[in-house]
Amino acid sequence: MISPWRRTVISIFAGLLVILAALFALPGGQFLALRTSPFVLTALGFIVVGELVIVMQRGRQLAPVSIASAMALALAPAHQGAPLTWAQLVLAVAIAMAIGAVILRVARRPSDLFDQSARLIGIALSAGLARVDVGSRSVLDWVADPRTGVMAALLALTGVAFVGVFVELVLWTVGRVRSLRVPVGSLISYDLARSGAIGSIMTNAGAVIAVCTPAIGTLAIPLFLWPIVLALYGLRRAARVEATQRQLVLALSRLTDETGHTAKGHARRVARIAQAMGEDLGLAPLDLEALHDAALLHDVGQVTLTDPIPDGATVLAAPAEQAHVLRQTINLAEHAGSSALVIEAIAASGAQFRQLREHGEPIPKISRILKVANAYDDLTHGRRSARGPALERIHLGLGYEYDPAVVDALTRVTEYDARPPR
Amino acid sequence: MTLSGTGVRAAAPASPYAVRTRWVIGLTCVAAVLLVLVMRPLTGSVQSPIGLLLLTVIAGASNLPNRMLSPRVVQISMLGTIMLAAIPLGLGAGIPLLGLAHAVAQAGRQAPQRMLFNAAMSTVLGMAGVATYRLLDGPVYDGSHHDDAATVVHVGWALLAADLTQLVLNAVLMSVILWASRGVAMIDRFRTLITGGGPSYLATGTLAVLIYALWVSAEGGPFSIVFLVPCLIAARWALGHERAEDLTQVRVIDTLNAAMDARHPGSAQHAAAVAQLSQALAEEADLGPAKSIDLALAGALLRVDTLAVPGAGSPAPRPSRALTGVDFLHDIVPVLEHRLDDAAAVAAGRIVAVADAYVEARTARPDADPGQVYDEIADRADLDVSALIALRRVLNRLDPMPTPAGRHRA
Repeated sequence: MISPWRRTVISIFAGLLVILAALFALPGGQFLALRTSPFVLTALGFIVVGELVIVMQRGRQLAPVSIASAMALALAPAHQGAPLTWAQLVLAVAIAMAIGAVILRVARRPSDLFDQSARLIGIALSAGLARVDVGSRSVLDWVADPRTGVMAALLALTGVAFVGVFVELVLWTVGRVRSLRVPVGSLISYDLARSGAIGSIMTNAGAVIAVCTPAIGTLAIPLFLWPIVLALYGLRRAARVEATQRQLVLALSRLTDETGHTAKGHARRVARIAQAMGEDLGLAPLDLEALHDAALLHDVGQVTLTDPIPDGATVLAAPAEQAHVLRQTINLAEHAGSSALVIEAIAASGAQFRQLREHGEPIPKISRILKVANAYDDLTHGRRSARGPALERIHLGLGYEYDPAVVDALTRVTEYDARPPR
Repeated sequence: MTLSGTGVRAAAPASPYAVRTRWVIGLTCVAAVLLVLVMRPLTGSVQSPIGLLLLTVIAGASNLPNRMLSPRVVQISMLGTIMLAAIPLGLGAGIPLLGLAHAVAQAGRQAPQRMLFNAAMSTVLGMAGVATYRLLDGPVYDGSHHDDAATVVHVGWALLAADLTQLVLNAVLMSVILWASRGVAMIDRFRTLITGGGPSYLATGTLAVLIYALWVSAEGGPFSIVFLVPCLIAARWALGHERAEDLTQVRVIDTLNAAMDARHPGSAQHAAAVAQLSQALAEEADLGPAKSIDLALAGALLRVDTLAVPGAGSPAPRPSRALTGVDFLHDIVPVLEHRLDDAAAVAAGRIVAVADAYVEARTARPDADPGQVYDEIADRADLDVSALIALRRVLNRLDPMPTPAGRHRA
């Protein structure tokens, strides 16, 4: 799932940024003088707290309170010790993040150096963009100018904050790109769609705090972090909803095993093979997710049979029986709240490839993959020794029953997959 | 969480309540109009027509169907926040307009009577908020800038007090209205509204101070609210997400019941009846809300093992094992597996078994007197005595049936 070397490179880069910042910030003692600024100390305090109140979203540690506080510090115009120099800011934020990480470690809660590194790089980038001179002055100078309108300042600072938050997301995506073997662009847009809402809040809150600080001072920080705290509460609930939904799909996939309708582990093996084939064929992340769920659910309709199909092998069942199982599977998948993509994949998984080739009927690629993966496991029951005869049998239906390109993918993944199906 | 109804409770007659409902709507509208007139000196005139227009658009837009914003059914209405924000912004006089825009956004999805009631109710609550805020001498924007933290703090706590007033008033009015129009118990409804939705209600209201801070203190003006919309939507989404969690859990039960029903037609109805009766028995035995829900779930899934293939291999199939990975069913699976080594499961199993036996007997003889059905199962030696006594009390309370003439085993 994760690309360790990319994560290491990104973490090392963040470490180099901190060293560079320390080299510029520490000499002269100005850095230590920051401790007298209530605004800076409050923002750093919220960064520490933000590192503690993280929320997991699909393996990613989100720290919206931390990012919004750091963005506010990075974008605040002159007020109570702000603006900090780029080096001061990066060093101060890194120290606050490190304190948060240490507390998490002491409390034996997970802390991810890579996620923190991506966050720090994003914030450092936004801080740099806000401070770099464009023409004769920087964005921060322009925002601090009394002639600049508040709306224009908000727009500019939101743009600068957006760049940092977006880069953090890209870095996180790049950190996991290797194993998924799908185009990076589609992965980024997928992650952006998943995290876009919380990203926009972090972006907004940072810019709004920065603009309000000269007027209402340090109060702006807790005030505008309040919606983020509420959003965190919602994100945690959403994570639980997602987990329950996932548990439901897994429970249904196990149900046919436990009722005695299918061989043990059939649905999970089909899901694993189908996922590998989908990655091999370069499916987009959303399609891969749908394929995985469809594979787990594809046989659940069998639990409605009083007389089970021998070994649960639908590939060997009569067409009428196959149609009945398919109907019941779709019914249960709809009850389970599966997406339209999953339902469509299951519904078309019984179709023959010739219907597409000869009549141009639309059969989604994920359905074609599911059909082949299911047939393979029905014939092998997870035994590697049965691979040859199973592939031979599937080849008999090549171009008629099964999509040749998909069967080629099956051949590849069952041959080279480091974790062969058991 | 609620499970689908079973008909154990008799449906209330509708017609007298329909008449009362019309009275309730009429009185609420009259109250709204009177309050607007009486509060006129406190609300003053609208300071910024453009600002009011913008708030009206947001109040209405946030009540449009939200499928685009969220694939799940999540409430993101921001009327509460917008109405409170209007008070310190000098837009209190426009509160009826905000309520109206919010209600009109439901056109096609709500009956006109309901929309009218919603608009009137919003106005009543909004005016109560204005009164509280002004009573506490909360600052109102009059074109001059209040750019210090102390003013924002004052606005904040005065709005919080207004929010609290609205919460209590809303709970009182809704309890009275639901009692009058539907016969719902007033105290129970009041408690549910305060404890269930109270924190969310208060949190939503506190967001109003953000609008004031950016609009007035930072001199952002009316259009600066655009920069707050993502934060407001996210916060509202977060607070409205509770229902999604419940719906997902109901979905799990619903899916398994659908599977059982497809295999054994009628079993879903049976499961729903057992669930409701198990919950009622748990409440009668004063086991607490969490345990009551657990028993309802156990009742709903009691017969999941009937999905197994008869006579299939060794060890015998146990479909309930498939549910071990579902977190919220963690305490239920031992009940479904009839685990004798788990004292809590045994105790819960006894209650659910009584509910199951009663529903089965009643289903077999739908025309029989409930008292006779009770007598039949009361003689069964395999059922728990205390659970049977609870069942008798529940039946006496829920169904207007004669007290069973039968006896209990001592």
